Amino acid sequence: MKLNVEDKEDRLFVQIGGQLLYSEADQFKEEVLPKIGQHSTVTVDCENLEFIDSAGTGAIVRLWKECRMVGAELELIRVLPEVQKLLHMTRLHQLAKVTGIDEAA
Amino acid sequence: MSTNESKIIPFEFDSLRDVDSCLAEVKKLQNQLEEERRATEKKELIMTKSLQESKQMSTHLQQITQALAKERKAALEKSEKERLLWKLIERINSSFDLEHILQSTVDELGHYFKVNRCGIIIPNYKTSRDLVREFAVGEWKRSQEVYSNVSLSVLYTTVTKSLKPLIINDTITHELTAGHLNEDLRSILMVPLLQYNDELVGVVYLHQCRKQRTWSEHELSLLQAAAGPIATAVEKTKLFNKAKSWAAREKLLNKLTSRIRGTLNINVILERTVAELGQALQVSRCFINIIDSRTSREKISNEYSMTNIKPLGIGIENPLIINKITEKNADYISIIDIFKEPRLIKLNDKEIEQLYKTGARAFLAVPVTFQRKLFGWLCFHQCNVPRNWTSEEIAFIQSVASQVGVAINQAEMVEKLTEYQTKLSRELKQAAHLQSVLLSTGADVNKNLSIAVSYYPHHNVSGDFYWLCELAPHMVGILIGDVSGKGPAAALLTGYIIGEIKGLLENQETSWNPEVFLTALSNSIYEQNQYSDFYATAWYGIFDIVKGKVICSNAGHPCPYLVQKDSSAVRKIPDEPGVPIGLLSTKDFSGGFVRKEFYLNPGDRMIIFTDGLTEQRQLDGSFIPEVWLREALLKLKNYKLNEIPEALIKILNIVSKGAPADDDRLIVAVEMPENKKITLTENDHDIIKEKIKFIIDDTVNNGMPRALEASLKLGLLEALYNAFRHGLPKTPKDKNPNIQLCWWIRENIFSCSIIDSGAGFNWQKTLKNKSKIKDVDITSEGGRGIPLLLEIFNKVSWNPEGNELGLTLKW
Repeated sequence: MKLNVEDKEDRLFVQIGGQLLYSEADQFKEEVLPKIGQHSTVTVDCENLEFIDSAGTGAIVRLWKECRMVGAELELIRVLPEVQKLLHMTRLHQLAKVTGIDEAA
Repeated sequence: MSTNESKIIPFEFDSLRDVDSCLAEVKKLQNQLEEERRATEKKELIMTKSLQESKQMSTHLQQITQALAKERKAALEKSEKERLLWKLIERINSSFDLEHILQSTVDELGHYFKVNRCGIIIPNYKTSRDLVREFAVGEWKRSQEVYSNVSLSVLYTTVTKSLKPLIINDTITHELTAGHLNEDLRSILMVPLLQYNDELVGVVYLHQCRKQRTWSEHELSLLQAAAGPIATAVEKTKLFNKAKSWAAREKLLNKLTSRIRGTLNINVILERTVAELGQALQVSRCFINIIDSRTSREKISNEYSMTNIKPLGIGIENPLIINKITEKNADYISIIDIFKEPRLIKLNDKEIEQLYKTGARAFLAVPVTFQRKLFGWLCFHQCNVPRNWTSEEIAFIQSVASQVGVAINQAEMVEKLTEYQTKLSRELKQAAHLQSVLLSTGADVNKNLSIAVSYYPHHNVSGDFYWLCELAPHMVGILIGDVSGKGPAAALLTGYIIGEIKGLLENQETSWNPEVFLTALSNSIYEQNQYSDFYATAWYGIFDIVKGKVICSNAGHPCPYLVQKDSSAVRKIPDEPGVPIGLLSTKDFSGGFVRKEFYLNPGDRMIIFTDGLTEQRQLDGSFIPEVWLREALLKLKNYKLNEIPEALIKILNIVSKGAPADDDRLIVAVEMPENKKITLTENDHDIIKEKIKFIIDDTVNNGMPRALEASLKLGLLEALYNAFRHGLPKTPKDKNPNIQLCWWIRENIFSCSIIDSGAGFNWQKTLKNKSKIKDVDITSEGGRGIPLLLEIFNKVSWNPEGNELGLTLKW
């Protein structure tokens, strides 16, 4: 998993690549969650996120919870279809704004 | 009596010596003469007496001669009579043909009496057609039409009424004939032919034409004497003809009966009946009016008519006159002459007209019934002439009608039976199809175990059954059984058993434990057996493909055979057959069903079968020794698995020398396969990802669409991570923690089993709470693994302990 977290004014911009699996979920949480501060939006760019499993979805739910605590909105952008499919299956699109790679942000 | 003969008295002149002596001599002569005279007188007296006696004797002799002549004449007449009678009797006895007898009799009598005509009249009161035969010579011959009317004459009537001979020596002077006869018939002698009880049989007559003839007593007595044998002969031939007619009718009745019974087709029965009866009775028409049981209307169903008679027509509604003129409970309706039938007043003009149009003059109808059920009427028409239906004819027709009634009833029953049979056959076919569907449903599972089945029901539907069940991708349950009996009842129980099996297989407590399974099945059937006495033998085994392990239990079923790949031996598996299921309550037999375990190596085969395979008889009735199966399995060792069952049946047919199958035959051949298996021992994510990639590539190479790749990957990841996170940590201390993953790809189905060394988990409880992903709390960070598995795979199953997971994905 490749992870890059950037603080852009009131937006926390997270770039994730590779796979977000059980084996990477803890790392994801450890590296992203502490960086959430006074942001109004947390954006996860999933352009390079190839795969996600239930543990990965769990990590995203955790991220959503953290955002909610600080009043920030969570958005997942440029999500690849396979990942988007799982996000919909697990209804994460009801928690966060999910935009596909082919959709306008 | 005087005589002129003289007698010379001798006189001796020498003795005349004196007068005295002369006188003495004269006196002596006188005395002698006196004596002579007296003697003569005496002689004359005797002669006269003798003459008188002679005269008397002569008279007597004459009388004797006359008496002898009379006696001789009488004897001669008697012998003539006897000769005539014997001759007549001889002729008469030589034949049973009445007409021949009559003709030869009149010929004989005519010649004997030297008459111009001799004839016999035999009256026929039933047909009014008298039988007349006449002998005549020369110009006195008459045509049959003329002499057939003799019976109408006054003379004939006189004789038949008085039953005494009629002697007319001269027709010119006789009161009965004087002035009435046209022809030159001068003398008639007519004698009645009487039976011993003075019953009139007929009349015999002699005619003398042109020249008057006085009939002598002798002639009368001779003709009367002849009348006796003639009457007897006529009665004899009548009896003979009657017997012959009865015999012919009995023969016809038998013929009809056998023809009627020779078919169960109502139409053929009726067709044959009218044709045979019509011809036998020489009627103008013979037809059957059948009553439609639904409409109660009568229609002509079959008709026979003579060539010159117009048929009434099949299918024509012909109410006839039966219902209108019949008496209640009439055995038959007969009309000798429609023109003189008093009952016709019950008909209206139209009906009478309709009746006349048929051309029938005489009519007979006999009901066709069976056990008081009226099927119709057997009807006869005699057209143009009246007909006196005899009691024999009616009785005969009634016999036929009775047979027809039986036949119709039988045919109706057969028709119903055939209909029922067709329905039953159709239902049996449906049942067979249903049974086949039921069984094939069981067979249509993803069998990662190699299985070949041959199923030969003895009837449409069978009492043998089998069920294949994928308990998990690596666990296949095989049940094979045989219900006692064959046919529909056995099949119904089979259906019931299959229903029960389905229920029991859904319950892991039973489906994963063969002995528990058989116990539950047995108890269920035993409960049903309160209403029947069925039972079944059964064998249930569970094949673990990963471990090569088989656990099984046997309920009175033939033990399966094991053919090992690396051994030349074929052996019976000693699985201790128990009591057949349904026979006893499991509470009633101790020990219950025994659980047996054994292992198979990849390539090892098991042959499971029903007793139709091993209890086959040969043509001589003896059972084929079971050793044939062992030998056959050895012979077929190198055959492909799916060829084994068919090949076994072929060998059995050869061994049984073509004897027909005694029972249903069911063979299930199983082969333990080689597996694709990986073993993971530590939670190395990279290795896991690598193995998953390997499996997915293999699956894609075996036809899985790329689109499913991500789903399969996610599913396998979830399953393996679960096994590592929740399974391995619970591994008992005496075991090495490991996870085994086996997978199979068959016919667009991927399946795998993930077996961990842990103690398992209560998957039932987990599934109860969240068996679907939508049931998972959206804000929950965990708990999506199992719902995701259920979402991705077509089938997700665990063993009862929860340490063996099976997954199936179809595309």
